[in-house]
Amino acid sequence: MVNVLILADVLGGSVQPIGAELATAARGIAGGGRVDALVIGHAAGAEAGPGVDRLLTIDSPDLAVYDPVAFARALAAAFDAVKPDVVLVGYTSFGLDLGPALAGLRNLPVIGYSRGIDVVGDKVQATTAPYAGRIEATVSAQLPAVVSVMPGAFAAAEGEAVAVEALLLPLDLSDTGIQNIQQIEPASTGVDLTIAERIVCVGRGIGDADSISVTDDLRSALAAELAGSRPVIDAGWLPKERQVGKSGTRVKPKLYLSLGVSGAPEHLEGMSGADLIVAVNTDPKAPIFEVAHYGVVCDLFDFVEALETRLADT
Amino acid sequence: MRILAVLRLLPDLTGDIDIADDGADIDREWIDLKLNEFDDHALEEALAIRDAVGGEVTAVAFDGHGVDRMLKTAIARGADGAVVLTHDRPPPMTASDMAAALADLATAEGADLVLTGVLTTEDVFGHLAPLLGARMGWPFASAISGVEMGEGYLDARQEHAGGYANILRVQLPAVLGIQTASRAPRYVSGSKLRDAMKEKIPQRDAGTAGGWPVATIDALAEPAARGGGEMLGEDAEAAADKVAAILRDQGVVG
Repeated sequence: MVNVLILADVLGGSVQPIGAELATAARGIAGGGRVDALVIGHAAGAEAGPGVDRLLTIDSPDLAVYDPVAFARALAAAFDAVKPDVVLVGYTSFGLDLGPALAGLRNLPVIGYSRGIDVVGDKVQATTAPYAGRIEATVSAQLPAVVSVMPGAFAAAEGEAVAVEALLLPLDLSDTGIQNIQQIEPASTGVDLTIAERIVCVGRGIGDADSISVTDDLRSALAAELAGSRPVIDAGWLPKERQVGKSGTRVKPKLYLSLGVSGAPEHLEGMSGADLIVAVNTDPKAPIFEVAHYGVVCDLFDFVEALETRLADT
Repeated sequence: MRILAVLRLLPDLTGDIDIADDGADIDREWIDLKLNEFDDHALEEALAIRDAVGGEVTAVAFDGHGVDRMLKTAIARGADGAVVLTHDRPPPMTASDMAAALADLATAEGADLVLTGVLTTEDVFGHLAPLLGARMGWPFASAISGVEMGEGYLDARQEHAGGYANILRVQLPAVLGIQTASRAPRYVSGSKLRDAMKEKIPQRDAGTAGGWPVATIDALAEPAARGGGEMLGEDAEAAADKVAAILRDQGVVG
């Protein structure tokens, strides 16, 4: 019997899908043990509890907005109170901070990039995806342990929500050294990739910002929205609202044409649910081909020109 | 202002990644290594901060193949110094072991700020910045995409999903995991690189392992195919014919 504590991320006032996915992962290893979800901060949503036995909340004026140190201390306090065998966090911006921080605060081992989890005896064993998913590593750690789970690795738990139970714990949230002085909402530019039916996504292979215009006519012929992978966004070639992936948007269009995207795990998690995925990359081993329905190994510029011509012929 | 920029070499994923005979690590014999792209940004952010408010940037790396040249390149790019931490741990080194050695170094050097990349592709043992911050009792934050310095503090932009972001006012000393620097990482001229190659990089013992419980790699395997689809070849013209037909068949185009 394994007791599991999962960290449910709250962003923009709502509990993120990763919480329900972690609930599925947790139930898979609990074996009759208790599965608790934890929401830290003001946005504790009562509907966020499918698949768990208890939805615990920790709230305080100091947790009104995100402060990595304050949230890590709150998570550590919950860990002390609940005494779980396994703590599951998502491979998200919050999990990136709080999973390793909890490990640091409570001397726990931590496993990253997990896609599958099992508990064998007194150890947790995870199937992980290092090297951008090019290798699968089986990693194990003595319980109790922290495991970071890739978004999309588990289906979201369904079922009735459970009652919220406030954890009233003595918390020292003073002197965290961090003050969240501004909360920035997504720019309302009218771009909403979540509802786009057709998406052309450019990756690092596009080379530079100017080259993105090479796809203009093809996108026009396909009536497709333009998107980019993380390196394209980070380089400033496209604005943030056009990012697909873990730190961008999760999409599910009818057509996803991927041009020069290698397919890092955080990207695949954001688009692998598309109905039809066509991927073009010069590297035949690019992980994008694992999720693509059709793959082409060639220069993306040659392909764009050729396909554009075919579509113009129709 | 004393800044440590922690740099890590990683397998170049444009090349083949093979599994070593013992099955517990990748085959590092012939592998191409490159600077972790996020560490590249961390170094650039460190240099940008130093340029803005003064101080010193020290590039830090754990010993290994190619590290000496990487650190010399960091000096050519503008770092004021570098140090290589010697150790006998097998790769990939755990974030806990790194944090233990870096905590000692940061204390010994009187560092005000430690910058490193938000993640590496090898982070099956967790990510370094929050682990180091928690160990040291310093404020920490990951996924930072730009820093502005104040007096005794910095304002860091932390990226979240879907375009959400926070500006965190972080008191020094602190640890940040950098996702993107405020400016593009700079290239280095050949003459500066040649000069830097003459430098001798000082060494420091990374010390013994932290003694904290860590995870272990049991085995590596080629990933099971996730049902990869049909490959349409390497000829752009022929593939475009096929894709156009598929799009018509599926009603995507008329």
